[in-house]
Amino acid sequence: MIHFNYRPTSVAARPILLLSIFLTICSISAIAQINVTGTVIDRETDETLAGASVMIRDEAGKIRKFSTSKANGSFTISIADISGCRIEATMIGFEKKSVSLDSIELPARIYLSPGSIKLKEVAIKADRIREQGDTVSYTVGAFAQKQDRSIGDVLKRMPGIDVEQNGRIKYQGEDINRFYIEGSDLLGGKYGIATNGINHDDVGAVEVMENHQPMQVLSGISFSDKAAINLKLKNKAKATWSIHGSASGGYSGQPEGALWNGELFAMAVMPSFQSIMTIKGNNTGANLSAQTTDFFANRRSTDLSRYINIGLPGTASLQEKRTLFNRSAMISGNSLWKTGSGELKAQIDYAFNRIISHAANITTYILNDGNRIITEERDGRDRNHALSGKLIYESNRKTAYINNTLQTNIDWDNVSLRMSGSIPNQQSASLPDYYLANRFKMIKRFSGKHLITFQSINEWESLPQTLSVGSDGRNLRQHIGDHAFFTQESAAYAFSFKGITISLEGGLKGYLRKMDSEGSIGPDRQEETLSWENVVNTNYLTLYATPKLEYWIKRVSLTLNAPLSYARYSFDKAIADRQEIYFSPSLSMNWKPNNRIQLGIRGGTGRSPMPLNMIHSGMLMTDYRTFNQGTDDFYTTTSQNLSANLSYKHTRMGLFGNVMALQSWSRTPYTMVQQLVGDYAVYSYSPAKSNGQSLMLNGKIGKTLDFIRGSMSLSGRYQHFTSHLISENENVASNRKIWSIAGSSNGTPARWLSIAYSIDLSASRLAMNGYRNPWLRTLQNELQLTIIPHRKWEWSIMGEHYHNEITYNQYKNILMVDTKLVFRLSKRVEMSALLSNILNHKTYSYTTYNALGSFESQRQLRGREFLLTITLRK
Amino acid sequence: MRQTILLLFALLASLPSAAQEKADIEVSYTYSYLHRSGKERNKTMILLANAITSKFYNPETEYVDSLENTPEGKEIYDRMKLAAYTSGSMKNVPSRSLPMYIYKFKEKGETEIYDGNATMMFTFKEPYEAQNWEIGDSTQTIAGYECIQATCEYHGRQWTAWFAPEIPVQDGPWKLSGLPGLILLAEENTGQHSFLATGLRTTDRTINPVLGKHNYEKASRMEMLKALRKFEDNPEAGLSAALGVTIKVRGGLKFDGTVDFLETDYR
Repeated sequence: MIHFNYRPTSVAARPILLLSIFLTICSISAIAQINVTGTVIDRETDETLAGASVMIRDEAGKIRKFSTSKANGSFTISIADISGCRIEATMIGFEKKSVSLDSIELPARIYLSPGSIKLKEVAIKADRIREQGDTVSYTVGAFAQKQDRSIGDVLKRMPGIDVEQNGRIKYQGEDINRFYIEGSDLLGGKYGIATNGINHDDVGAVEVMENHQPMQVLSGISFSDKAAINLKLKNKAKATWSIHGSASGGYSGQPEGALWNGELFAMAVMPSFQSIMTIKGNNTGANLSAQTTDFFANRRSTDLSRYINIGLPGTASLQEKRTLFNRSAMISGNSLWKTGSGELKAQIDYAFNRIISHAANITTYILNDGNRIITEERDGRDRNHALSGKLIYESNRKTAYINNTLQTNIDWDNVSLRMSGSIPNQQSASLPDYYLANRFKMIKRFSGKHLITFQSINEWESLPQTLSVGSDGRNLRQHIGDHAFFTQESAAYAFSFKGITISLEGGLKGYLRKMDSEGSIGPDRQEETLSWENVVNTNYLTLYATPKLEYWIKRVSLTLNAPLSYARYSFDKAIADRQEIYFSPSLSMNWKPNNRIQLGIRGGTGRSPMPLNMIHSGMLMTDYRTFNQGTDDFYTTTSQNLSANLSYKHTRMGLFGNVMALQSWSRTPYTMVQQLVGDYAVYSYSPAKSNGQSLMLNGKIGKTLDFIRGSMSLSGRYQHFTSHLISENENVASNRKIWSIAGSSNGTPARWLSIAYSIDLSASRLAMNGYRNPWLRTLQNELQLTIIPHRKWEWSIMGEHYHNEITYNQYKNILMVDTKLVFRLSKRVEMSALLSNILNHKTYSYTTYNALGSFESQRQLRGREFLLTITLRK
Repeated sequence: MRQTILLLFALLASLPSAAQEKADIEVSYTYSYLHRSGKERNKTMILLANAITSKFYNPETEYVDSLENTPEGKEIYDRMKLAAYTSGSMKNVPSRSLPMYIYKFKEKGETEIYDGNATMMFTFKEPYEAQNWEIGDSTQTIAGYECIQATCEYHGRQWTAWFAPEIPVQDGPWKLSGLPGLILLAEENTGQHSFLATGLRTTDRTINPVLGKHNYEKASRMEMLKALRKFEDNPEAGLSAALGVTIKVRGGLKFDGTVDFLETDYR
């Protein structure tokens, strides 16, 4: 007896009611049952299939009876009437098969062909962001989109994590303090190599460890308000070398010629060994320098900076990929070996960058006797080679920490700039930089409460600078030699008891620096040779003591730092020797009432010496028309700062937010003076007091959008700076305000479509001595649409629109559009074709008018380009 | 000696085959149930299934089990607990608050059950049986799939399930299975228990055995249900017995007498 239990329902109730009455009558009358029997078989292997669903559907498609195939593939379904019915077998991994029961012989043999039944995947929500204690874990697969390549592409979409234009990563508005791969710190601050290189498909999760104390010996003693990021790799990427590479070739209309782009990336993550090797090169406008930038680099205590400052002509205010005319290459090798109790790391990087830039300004003066047109063209070329190496030994244990880092950085930078116009000239500068440093640190913890630290830092740097200028038949040459050696030796003792840590660090700093320069104009046959020179020693010896008090109980941490130092400066008769005492206390507080909210407040005050490289009595030329006079006095600056930040997160809702405010004040007893002498500008310092102020406000909210597997963010920023300058004997107080608001969102609303959109509106205003220039606004909209018609194909169209205010109420609009087609041959091979700047905008130029004439600015853009790429993965 | 070695090899060889069965599909469910206090609780559950084997479990419990399975993991877990205790945010530490694992071995005809509460955990096996479903006519769309209604009576409760014939996996949350399509929603008619699918994807994850098996005491289904009932009726006594200290909750624990387990046929 078969019962069909029909209930009044929401869908098509009435006809079914009639049908049910009919069927009930039928079922009462139909005593005889038919046994539908058969076997489900794999068509390819001829083996029987267990666990397949077998259904009998009636003419209307309703499931009448169903069963499952047994271990031997057989099934039996008893049914009263099979007329008009179909038998259907389905199983995951096979294509559905449906046969009319009228046309089949029993026992039936149903063959299923292997094939995939496409599932409409629905994001497993609970998995996108998880929280365990202080660790927030983002599932990479839940944020990745089809067009993503590297893990950096996916990181940008994770709410709470920010990846800046230059590659720097922030979490809740604060810089991260470590970047780990499977718990090991292979790259240090050069994490751009990982974010730009590691395939997102090799990473299972991105973990953010809040309040991360990288030195285990300080855990539980010293509070950290910074977070670290750890990449958890998938098993397939572990214990093997994962390798991928790509090669591209194409043609560009501007710069005219062939385009090339290639990269090779290899990574091994094994229990006792990690390594990343990468080599890249392109002339397609992709800046590689961010990839070898060390974001955790210590400030160099050698404190040298270049006097010569010739920069390339500025580019149009569009995205860098539109304006960069480059030829770049980099090679990086990084390895880590785990030894008994520590790690040995070796890193070596080489980067080459050649950038050219061209700009033209055309000024038209409307005069009574006709127009006068002055064209000023600037062509610049910068060739930079950078080589750096690091050898690190680190042992990071609970009772002891040892780190020794030996590091060298060598840069060769050659800049040449040719200008035509009112002062036609040609400048070229050779600006190499040689730096060598060793840092040693050892911390030992005794009986849990006592800490002893030894530290030794030694740095040496040489920064020779050569400038030659050819102008108006005259030749000018200037060479500067600048060398410095810095050493710091210190010892510290700390005692920790019930959440209170008292420590005292004492040490010695020594600094030796010598700068000498020689400059001359000529020799011109008619004129005498004019020359200028400098020889300056700026040395010091500092004794310092830093008492520190840390209080860290439960949810509150307080840190009071009170460094006191005595410094003795000797200037080898250039100016009088000097003794100074500096005291710069600071207090910081962090409160974390629960895992969602964190509040930090910090304030400090102090005195610091002026930059020692300002001390020189003779002239120094900084570019073809600027001289720097220096000072022969010693000044100290006092400054105060106050900052606060508040962050909130709700991981289950995928909501992250933070706000930050920073106000600082500075008082310097000197003011920069600008004076025009003929065609030249001369900068010097006058003993007039000057005050500066700055205020920065930042805020950001990020949220996951689970219904489209996406995320969104909103951010705002406001900055206000004031400063003073004496120009042509007149005191100029300048006041600059900048604000911006930005929003972005991305998602995959349908399986075949993903969208990313961002909008950025910003404005700035400069006021001088109370005269306010108008606010100038820029608006940028960026959109990317990716369509996936088939799993092997992917088509993207993307572009950005700029709406830049040049002068009050006069806007420059430009639209840049690209398109890309990708074909995935297999999991390992992918081919793509990119057509960028379809509209072929080759210049970014605008003209402004005033009562006396007009001014036209012309900048070059990369023209229409076509690029074919093949990507291979191991 | 030789025989022992052979036996060892045979054992070793048999281990991976049992452990390395791969799932075809991963489904996440939200399990909503009434707590004894009468308040609704929600837990995420995962179903890993292929045509013949499935595992339904609470990922948080599995996470704790996997941590406690190795000395390093145990240390991490202890540190996590300590950190949470000192910061006062115990809620964020993963715990075994729903220590449920249901394995359906359809070919073997066996269901392996691990269940209980945070203090009492039991395990037993029972023959695998699909519920005696009756397919209805109503349809509704859940997570983008058209689902058909089916009903059954099982171990004292009346269930309504909604399954998707488009997903040819005859499985579902908890012990529910045997419909010609994956069950995406199952509701018990008093509203005390329901399972709703919130996500699904194809997968090649392995169906691993329970790592914390030793935490579970062997018992029969009836013994387990009766022991858990006793605990629910007097949680203070149950907790006191489990922790070895006398626990008294100020004002007494509130509970709603009508709330019962997924299975009620023990009464």
